[in-house]
Amino acid sequence: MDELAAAVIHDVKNQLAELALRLERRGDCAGETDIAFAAARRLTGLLLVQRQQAGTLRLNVDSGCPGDLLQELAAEYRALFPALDISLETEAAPAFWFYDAALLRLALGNAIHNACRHARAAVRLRAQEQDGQLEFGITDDGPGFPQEMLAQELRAAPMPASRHGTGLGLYLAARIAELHQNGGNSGNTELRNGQGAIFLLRLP
Amino acid sequence: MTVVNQFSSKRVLVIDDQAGMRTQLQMSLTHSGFEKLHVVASIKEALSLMNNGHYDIILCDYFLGEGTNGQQFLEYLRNRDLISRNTIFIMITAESSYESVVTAAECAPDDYLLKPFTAEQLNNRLGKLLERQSCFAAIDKAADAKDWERVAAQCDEVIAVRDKFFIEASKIKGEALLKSGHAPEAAALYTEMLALRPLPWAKLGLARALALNGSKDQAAALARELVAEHDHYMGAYDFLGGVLAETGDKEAALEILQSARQVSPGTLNRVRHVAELAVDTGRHDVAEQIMTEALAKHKYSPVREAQDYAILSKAINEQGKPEKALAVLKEAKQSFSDEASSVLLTTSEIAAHRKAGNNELAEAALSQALAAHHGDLPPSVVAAVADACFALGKEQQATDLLKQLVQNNPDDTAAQEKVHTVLTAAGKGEAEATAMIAASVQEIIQLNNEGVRKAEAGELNEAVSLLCDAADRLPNNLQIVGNAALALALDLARSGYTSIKMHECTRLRQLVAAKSPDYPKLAQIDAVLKKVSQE
Repeated sequence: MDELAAAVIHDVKNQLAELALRLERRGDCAGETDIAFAAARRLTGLLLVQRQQAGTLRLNVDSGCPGDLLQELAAEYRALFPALDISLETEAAPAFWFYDAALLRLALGNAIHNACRHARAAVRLRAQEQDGQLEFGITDDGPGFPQEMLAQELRAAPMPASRHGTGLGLYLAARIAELHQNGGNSGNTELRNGQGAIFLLRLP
Repeated sequence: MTVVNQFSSKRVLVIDDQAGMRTQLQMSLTHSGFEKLHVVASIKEALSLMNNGHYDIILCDYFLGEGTNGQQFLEYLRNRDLISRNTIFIMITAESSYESVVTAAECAPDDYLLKPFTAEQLNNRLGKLLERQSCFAAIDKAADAKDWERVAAQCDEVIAVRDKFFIEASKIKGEALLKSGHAPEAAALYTEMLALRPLPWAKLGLARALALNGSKDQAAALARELVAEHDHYMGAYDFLGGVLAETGDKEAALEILQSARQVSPGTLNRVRHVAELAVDTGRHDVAEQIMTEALAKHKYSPVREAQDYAILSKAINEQGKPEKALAVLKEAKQSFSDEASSVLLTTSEIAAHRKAGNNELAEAALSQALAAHHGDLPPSVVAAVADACFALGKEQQATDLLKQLVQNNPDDTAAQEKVHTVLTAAGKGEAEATAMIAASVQEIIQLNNEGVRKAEAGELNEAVSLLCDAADRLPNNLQIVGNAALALALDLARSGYTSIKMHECTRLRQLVAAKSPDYPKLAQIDAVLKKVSQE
């Protein structure tokens, strides 16, 4: 992606954000506000992918509280999807862990957004410490990920457009997880199907 | 519609140059229940509001139009202790500036909000930050009082719980240990942190602890490693530049800080540091260029200081352009009218007048600078005046000023270093300079002891005259000023009330109380004064 394209994306993103803010101020068009916010955030994701591919996406790791992070995200998405039952499971989460909170919030936020869009009635957010790693799990009760997405393993480039979107968010989440490294281990993401779709993000 | 909740009583200040954003934040915050809300467009307005009261939360956009940004504003507030440590400072940034914000330096905001954000997100984040605010209240209070021992002790209470605030409490404790000079304890704490996770701030902390312990080469090596690993961590560059300059390698320090400026031009603080190093190493062209650029960028900003113009004029003058140097100072005088700035700028004119061959004007400027009350001026300004005295061959006045400077700042090692620099620049040897400083320190200790002895022996007139005389010259030496007030109080208690003595005693007592409200001698003075008014 060249610099001109990046600059235009940046501008459009800001315009969308401005539009979202104006809609929010009107107070009578929550649905439209969400669309504009979501669009602005997708472009933010695109800009981050561009930086990741250029090798200039850097982490700023410090301590954070995984339980608080999920609680924050849950409150945010409950407001966006009031019909869904978004529950938390953080009893087995460590009190603190080390990550780039801003990037992780984007990565998880995107996965939660996906889950909320495809869930029938419920989305469950989970954080726990397992085998020396911090694992976030986002589970919905929808139809699950399509087979071609499970096969892709999120390794290569963003996948072609499907009814799940462009896969940009999942791609970015995988890269953000991988950037987190500790003692020779790096983070990863995994997609599974159970009762619905299961998104896992692990940090060393 | 508003709700009464945990937010209602909190005082909030919002700074954003964009009207749309201001409206959005105002609406979101009002909706969340905030009732004491001030919204402004510029840091000038923010500063004038902050003069009138304390804020619990400050929300500041990173971009504030042309010139000074939110990070520079925060650094300005922290360097001058204009906000409590307990005030929550939130930086609002776009994803494009997020990185330059998070890597800025040790002067970090309490949290970042990435644009765009919803009212819900803001609300949640504020809730979490208020939880932190109440958990750290005692620690922050001790930090505001610069009582580092108490900060460390309070941190231990949070650390013992090992909850989500464990790392942050450890980080603050490390800072407190460094500030109170406990290098080995700080090194142990940072080593423990590094075993948990190789975080850049912990590595920098360890380097600082090593430097504090005298192992400056080891500290520099560690900082170099850190710069190589995290080339965007600006605090590492600033520290490395500082430690190299202290070990006498100013060229290497300049090189490091210049490379930092390649990564991020940084705040005016770094520019100042670089410009001073450039002047010290004879790179006057570099100093002129970066200072001119920085001042043009901050033209109407309160983050500028008279010292910035003094450095710039020096850099220009040393390149043989005295007229231009004088023009810079003249422009600066329009912005800075307080006494310290005026004296500094007038003193800076001296070198330019001399370079231009106008010795009479140089003499006149020096007389003007010498007419000030030097006891009330910051050490750097007094050192500059003394330096000018040496340049014009007024050795006696120069050494008198430096002696006063040392005696007026008894616990300030940085001030002593300045004196040392001025003396050696004037051709004194290292040993001679050190001896002169030591003699000045010794002299004032003896004078104080003599005053106390006379007071204890009942020779109150002599004690009062000795100590009050010294207190006039050294209003910043709390021991002298405190003892002068005490001697006056004892005299009043013994010889009876006179309004002149009482007025002077109260004035001196206030001088101490204003600088150090917990100064132990205050209680003693008050106890004696109580007896006076009762009679």
